[in-house]
Amino acid sequence: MLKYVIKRLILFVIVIFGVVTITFFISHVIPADPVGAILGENAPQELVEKMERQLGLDLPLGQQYTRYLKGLINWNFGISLRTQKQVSEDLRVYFPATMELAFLALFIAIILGISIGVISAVKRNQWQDNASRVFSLVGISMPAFWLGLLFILILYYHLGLIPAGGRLSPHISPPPMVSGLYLLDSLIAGQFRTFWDALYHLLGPALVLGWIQTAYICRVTRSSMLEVLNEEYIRTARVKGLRERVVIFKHAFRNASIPILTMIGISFGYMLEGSVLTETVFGYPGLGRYAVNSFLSLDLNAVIGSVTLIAICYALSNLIVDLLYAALDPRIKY
Amino acid sequence: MAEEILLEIKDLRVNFYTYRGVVKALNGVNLKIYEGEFFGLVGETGCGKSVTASAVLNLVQNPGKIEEGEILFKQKNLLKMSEKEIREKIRGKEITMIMQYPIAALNPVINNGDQIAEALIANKNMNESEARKRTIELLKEVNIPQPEKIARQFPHQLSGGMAQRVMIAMMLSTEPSLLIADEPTTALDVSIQAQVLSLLKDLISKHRATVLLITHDLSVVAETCSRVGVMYAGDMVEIGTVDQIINNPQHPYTKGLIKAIPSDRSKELVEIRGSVPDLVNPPSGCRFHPRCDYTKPICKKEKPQVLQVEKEHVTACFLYEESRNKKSKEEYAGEYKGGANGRTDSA
Ligand SMILES: Nc1ncnc2c1ncn2[C@@H]1O[C@H](COP(=O)(O)OP(=O)(O)OP(=O)(O)O)[C@@H](O)[C@H]1O
Ligand SMILES: [Mg+2]
Repeated sequence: MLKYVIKRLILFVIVIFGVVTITFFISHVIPADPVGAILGENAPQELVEKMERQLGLDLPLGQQYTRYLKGLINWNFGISLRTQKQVSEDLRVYFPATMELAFLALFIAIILGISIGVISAVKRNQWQDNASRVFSLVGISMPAFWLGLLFILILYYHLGLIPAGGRLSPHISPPPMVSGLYLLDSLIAGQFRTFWDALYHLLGPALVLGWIQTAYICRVTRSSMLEVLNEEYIRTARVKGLRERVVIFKHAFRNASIPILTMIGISFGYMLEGSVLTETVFGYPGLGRYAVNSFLSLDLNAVIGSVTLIAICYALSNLIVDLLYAALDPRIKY
Repeated sequence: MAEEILLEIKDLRVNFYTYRGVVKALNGVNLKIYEGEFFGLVGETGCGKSVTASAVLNLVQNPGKIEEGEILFKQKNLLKMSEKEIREKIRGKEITMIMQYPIAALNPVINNGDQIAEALIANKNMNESEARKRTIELLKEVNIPQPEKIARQFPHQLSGGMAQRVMIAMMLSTEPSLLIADEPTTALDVSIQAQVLSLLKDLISKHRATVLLITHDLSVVAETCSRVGVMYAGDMVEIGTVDQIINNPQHPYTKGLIKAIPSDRSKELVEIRGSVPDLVNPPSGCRFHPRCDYTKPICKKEKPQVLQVEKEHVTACFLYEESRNKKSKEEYAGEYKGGANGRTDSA
């Protein structure tokens, strides 16, 4: 097992290195002109050259790359042209906001997706199943931004159930920083009002992101459970006279959980991706919105910083899923 | 025989409601199994042997439905019991089943020992440590070397033969009165089929259980069973003692099956022409008539009645009805000896 973990960790490092390299080259070969974007098209030549020298854009690509790698090791992406702050500083502010959103959405998606999926499979073709299939079809077919707009229209505009944006209401100050996750930090500090306010701000985007992933997890759970429920060993369990609850949860669910786990891993990735749209629509100050804004203003350092961080999260979630497989399925060889 | 009837199936009909249409899988099956015997059920693939077995435990798989009939076990109709009652009183306790593919029949994520222990805990009121101890004894009983190690292993680490031994241990652990063995050796290596079969025989006589052995191999039946039922396309076409079926088969399908046993190297294998019909649109009358060499007009129109050939020997075939009528005439003329000695019909 330990050997497997080490092997998997080495693989993880290689993947990260690849992603980082690809991100760098893609963002440097695109025909964009960051300096022009900052100084305007008619800026005098000497000013442009000075700026390029400052940013290191005058160096050959290879040297820029090694400089970038060196910076990366110290978690230094340089200065954001847009916010005029260290990119790593910005990331430290926006990243926890996105993580908080993604975790809450994932939590909703796992709980709802698995329970609805299991019920759907057990009550195959009955009304519960039909209802859940409609529910997941809607979640899967609706684009996130559209679902987001609908939520805003109904929950904010008509019902006033969710706030207009942000992480906290203006009169509430953030809890003392521990993890950067407001929900967690406010609980640690015992500030329940802050907790509720943070939850209130998270609810809209989390429900949108969560619904979409609930739909995917629910689908996978349903089909995986249906497949497993047809297996011979389920018959064996019934022949043994076990109660239906034991048959479903002990014998079927554990076997069905491997594809579900894969889906959860993928879902987490989608959440990072979906956060870009959802955060923009809901005006939620997270990494997704930060990345979009950086991109729109050709703020290369900030783009590379956010993409690298998202890629690391993605690879990390895959790593965790792989390690969990090995724990769940005795057939997987280490 | 003065033996008690343990299981009696009466006019059992099972349909599967598929998108292709209604599969009429069992078309009124009748069958009696006496206490303590080894009853064999044979027939080609798809003739309804496994469906019959599932029906006995009321575990016919979706989209199947038991349409009518009775399954009397110790005189009680299992089909009238609630799901809860049959689960608490019958499955695992009174009737158990071993299956064709033992590795698929064991749960891949639970270790072998725990799967056996689970049956003991659920049905024998044992606590965990008692069940574990008993599990090891049971594994020893089925001749598994290093039972402690095997108990800790998972099904995918076992060979087919070992896995079937684990299944046997599990299904006999609760000392059921009836064990259904659905092709227990078909999926195993030829070299260990006989071993597993003789182990099963030994254990059954030790536990005094009754067995319904499903197979499509008549030679296995000849070695193990006392009586046999021959099924064809959802119908029970002939039932008798092994001796009666092997040496005096009456139904053309049974005769065909016996000819198809590879007994003598010099003889060519004779197969029954044609193939099993689609049970969505089964043949009219006798379901065997399209493949039968002796089809008569009536065979296409009416379902043959079950007729008594001898004590314990029944068949459902118009041919037999006719030949018997002829024979009794000849007998009357004093020209024929043996055969059906003036028995009366019993439908
Ligand atoms: N789940 C199902 N859905 C639809 N039809 C089914 C199902 N299970 C069985 N059947 C039909 O019922 C009939 C009897 O099948 P069964 O499995 O009892 O055959 P069998 O005699 O056990 O054959 P084998 O020797 O291959 O095990 C077949 O025609 C099959 O098509
Ligand atoms: Mg079968």
